[in-house]
Amino acid sequence: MIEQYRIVLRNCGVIDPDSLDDYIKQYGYQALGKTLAEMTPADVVAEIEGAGLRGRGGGGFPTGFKWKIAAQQKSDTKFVVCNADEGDPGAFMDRSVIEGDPHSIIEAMAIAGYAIGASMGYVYVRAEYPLAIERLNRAIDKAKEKGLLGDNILGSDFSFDLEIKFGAGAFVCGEETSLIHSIEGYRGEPTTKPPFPAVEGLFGKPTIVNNVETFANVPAIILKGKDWFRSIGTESSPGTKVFALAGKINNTGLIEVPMGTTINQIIFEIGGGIPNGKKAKAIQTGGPSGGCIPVKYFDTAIDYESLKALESMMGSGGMIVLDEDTCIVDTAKFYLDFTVDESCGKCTPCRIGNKRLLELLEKVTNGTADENTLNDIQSLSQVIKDTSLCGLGQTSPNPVLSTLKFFPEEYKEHIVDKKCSAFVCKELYQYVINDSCVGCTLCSKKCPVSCIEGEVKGVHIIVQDDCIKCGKCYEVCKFNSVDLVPGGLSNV
Amino acid sequence: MFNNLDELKTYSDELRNKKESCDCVEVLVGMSSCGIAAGAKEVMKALQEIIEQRGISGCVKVKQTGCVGMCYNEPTMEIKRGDESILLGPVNVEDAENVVDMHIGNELKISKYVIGNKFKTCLD
Ligand SMILES: Cc1cc2nc3c(=O)[nH]c(=O)nc-3n(C[C@H](O)[C@H](O)[C@H](O)COP(=O)(O)O)c2cc1C
Ligand code: SF4
Ligand code: SF4
Ligand code: SF4
Repeated sequence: MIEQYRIVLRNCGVIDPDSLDDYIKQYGYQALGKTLAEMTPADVVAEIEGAGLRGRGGGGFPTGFKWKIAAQQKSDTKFVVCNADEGDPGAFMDRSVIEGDPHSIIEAMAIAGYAIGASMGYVYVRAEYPLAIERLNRAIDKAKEKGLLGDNILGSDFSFDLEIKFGAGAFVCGEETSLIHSIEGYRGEPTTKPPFPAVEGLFGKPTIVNNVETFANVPAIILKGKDWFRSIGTESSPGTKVFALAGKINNTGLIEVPMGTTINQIIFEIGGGIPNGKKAKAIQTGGPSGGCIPVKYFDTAIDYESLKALESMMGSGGMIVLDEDTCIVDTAKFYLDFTVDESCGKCTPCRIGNKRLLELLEKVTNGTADENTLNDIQSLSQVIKDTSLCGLGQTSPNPVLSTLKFFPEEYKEHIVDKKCSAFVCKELYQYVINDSCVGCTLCSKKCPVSCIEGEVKGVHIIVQDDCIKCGKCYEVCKFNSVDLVPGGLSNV
Repeated sequence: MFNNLDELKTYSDELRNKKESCDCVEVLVGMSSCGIAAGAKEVMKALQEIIEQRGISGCVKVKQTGCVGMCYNEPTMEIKRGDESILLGPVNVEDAENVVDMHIGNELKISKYVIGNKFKTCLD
């Protein structure tokens, strides 16, 4: 039986987030004290690099390497930025960390500032997270009062200040160049890399941008050492990962497990399995940039590389469980719909390409697709990936491509048989009343559009042209006389 | 004001030693957005009132904490007595009286509210 092991969430649910004493009791700010008293900035970078910590915001970029590049830049001003924009649908890891343990982020950012030679940091938080902002604000004030933030921290000659910036409310603002422009007061639109922020970032100065969860690991690594960190997780992905379990799973919520834990262990041992005795079909990871991993790969040990090999990605840690009643084409459509909404519109392949891709998927789900549709989907997806400006567009076809790869028969079923086995795509099923109907008239009374005809005690019939497929008749009939059957395309 | 690392460490040690010498019960109510949305604020108030009424507020402390991650059992809380601890949930306002009886008045280890033990952390 696998157990959770908490590094990032070490204090969440353990301390009062508004109490500095509580944090100090848990060895809080001792990592910062240790770096200032006993380590050079280069030592700190080497420790983080040696630990093999990788960015938890999605990409898995080596954190120490990013810090090293920023540290090497010659500049009188540098910045540390914490990305708490958390825009993936269903994700709330970062919110929980800030709400439950705000000082850990403050401490980590100050350590990063010392390592790269920055004296100013910004936390970019979604404006939709008022409680996180409130607690972080209070924590900053308290840390300043006690000499743990601000001028001459812990009696050293290192000074570091923090400011909170509110997110502008768009998913693309979580992309680092976009986020930087948003802090600068410009529209939150991405720009090309290079230059990378570590070389030329906020206000043109060297800037490191790291995710909340990435930062939360830092004090623990400094206190316990790189070798300890490397002893957890896998060779290429040391440490733990926080996941937000959602969808068709009994124990929804936040979990933290060592990298290398298998999907099966997460879903069945920690997550308590699938509700209502249903079978699992796939998990979705990586949000709108990721994909769906089918159940036959559930024995995969999770790390950055293994998820990539399965056409998905780690992402920020959203893990949505799909059961046998899920339509995979509809799922891909959901994520693409999100991308189309959130595309900033700056470049054509993403702005128009994704819209066209969504229309192709709609043809699949409404039964109007033909033998060319899949090819069109494939080639358009490739163009969008190859030519979009930022990560949003470059990854947006992933949910489509991964489901197409692992569930081709389900796409074909929609296209060739005009059938949705999960009975999700409305145009591809219908309700019909069978001969066992006793004519109790209940369904016709409940039908919101009055499209059920029949005499009392006579078999009823649904006028398909008028039916809006609300399912009310199916729900209320006490005699199992309403069937859900494939077909019905003609009357849409 | 901490002037150096040693002062900070000394203070941290003091805080830990103080805790260990006291056998007070600590009730930690999960008060992140998720818990609050499930009614944790009202539950915390109810617990405080009951404890006040019974005149046991001297040895029972009710505190807020962040989210333990068990969304499916919110509102959740942890009852800590020295080194021992249990996680409870869901505890709604109408369960508050019960929880005080069973887990503070009596030291029950098993009840319909118990959902597990504290998670293992890198600070253990
Ligand atoms: C469309 C888009 C949205 C993103 N949203 C987030 C986000 O909400 N939070 C985050 O930490 N990183 C997000 N990223 C990744 C950031 O650009 C950046 O890589 C990350 O903050 C770096 O931190 P890390 O190395 O610690 O992960 C997003 C990237 C893209 C392309
Ligand atoms: S890929 Fe999409 S989100 Fe990114 S810059 Fe282009 S239009 Fe904007
Ligand atoms: S599905 Fe809804 S609209 Fe259609 S017949 Fe039944 S109750 Fe009427
Ligand atoms: S509720 Fe069922 S049994 Fe009654 S009329 Fe409708 S289909 Fe027939």
